[in-house]
Amino acid sequence: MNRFLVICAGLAAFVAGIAVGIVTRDSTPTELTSGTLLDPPRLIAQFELGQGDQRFDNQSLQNRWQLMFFGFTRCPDVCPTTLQLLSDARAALADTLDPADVPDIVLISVDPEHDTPERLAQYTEFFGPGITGVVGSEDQLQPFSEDLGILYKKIPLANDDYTMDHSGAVIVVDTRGQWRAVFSPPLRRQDLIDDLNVLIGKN
Amino acid sequence: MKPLLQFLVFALLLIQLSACGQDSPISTDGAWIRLTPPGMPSAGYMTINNHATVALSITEVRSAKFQRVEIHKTEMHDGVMQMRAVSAVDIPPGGSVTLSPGGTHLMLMKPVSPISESEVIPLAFYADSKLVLEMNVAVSRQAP
Repeated sequence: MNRFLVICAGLAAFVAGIAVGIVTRDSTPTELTSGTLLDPPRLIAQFELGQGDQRFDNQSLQNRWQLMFFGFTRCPDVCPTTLQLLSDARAALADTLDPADVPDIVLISVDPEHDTPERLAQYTEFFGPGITGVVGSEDQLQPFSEDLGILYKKIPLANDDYTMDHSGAVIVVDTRGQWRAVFSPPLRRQDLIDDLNVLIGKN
Repeated sequence: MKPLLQFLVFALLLIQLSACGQDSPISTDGAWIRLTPPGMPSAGYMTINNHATVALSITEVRSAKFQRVEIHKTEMHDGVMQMRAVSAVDIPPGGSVTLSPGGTHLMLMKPVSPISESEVIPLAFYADSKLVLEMNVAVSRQAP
């Protein structure tokens, strides 16, 4: 009888130990210095952008970490600056993370009027490997961007030209297609690298 | 006759030299033009110094390489990046103004041919319709 109690107590202690271990490990807060963590991660509403071979949807967000940025190809200042920074950060992360954990970069066009999939491909290729351009119709883009808190607006310029105002945020999506963190401008390369190393390295 | 010819050549050289070294009221540091994919607009960045004792207003910039050059300013409002044309870059006497990514910059539109890395692009700066500086700026992916 006594022996049975001892075994029970031992087992209980063992289970409790495991439980404490699990809880402690899971409750270690992930601290980001420049980004904002979404804890718990947020589900991204059902969406689709583009069609056919070019279709990008919730399924496309599975299995790889992804950094999403909203912009347009005729943007000469903010978009190239951000894409170059993200591309540099991606290259730096490849030194520390497993290849499968290195995030890909997705440029979502806020200018479907001008940005065709071909133009986007030519544009994104320019900034390095691991960058994809995605464009959907205005009707597809609107609910998706709204879900992620991204704003954009067409602004007329002289000579029948126009520019696009757009949020400068970088959205971090995890391997299960969930929204895990957001980085707001001004972005700093090293802060982004450090934070992504912490965030992705923990998983 | 020969000495006269020599004199003329010398005089011409002098004129040319003085034109080159003409005291511009402004100078620039760290100028670069962003390499962008073919056909896309680009941006020019630099610090402009005003050596004059009066304020100077750059109202126009031209380039033989681009059909249109405008002075633009990127501003962030509630996380939204907005780019707007501005009428001038005002530089106080003895002061300087920096054009940088995410701030005021030259927007170089409609390249007459695709730009390439290390290519040198001519820029001409005007203050109140008067040419104040001509310079060549190299194209690069990132700030030099």
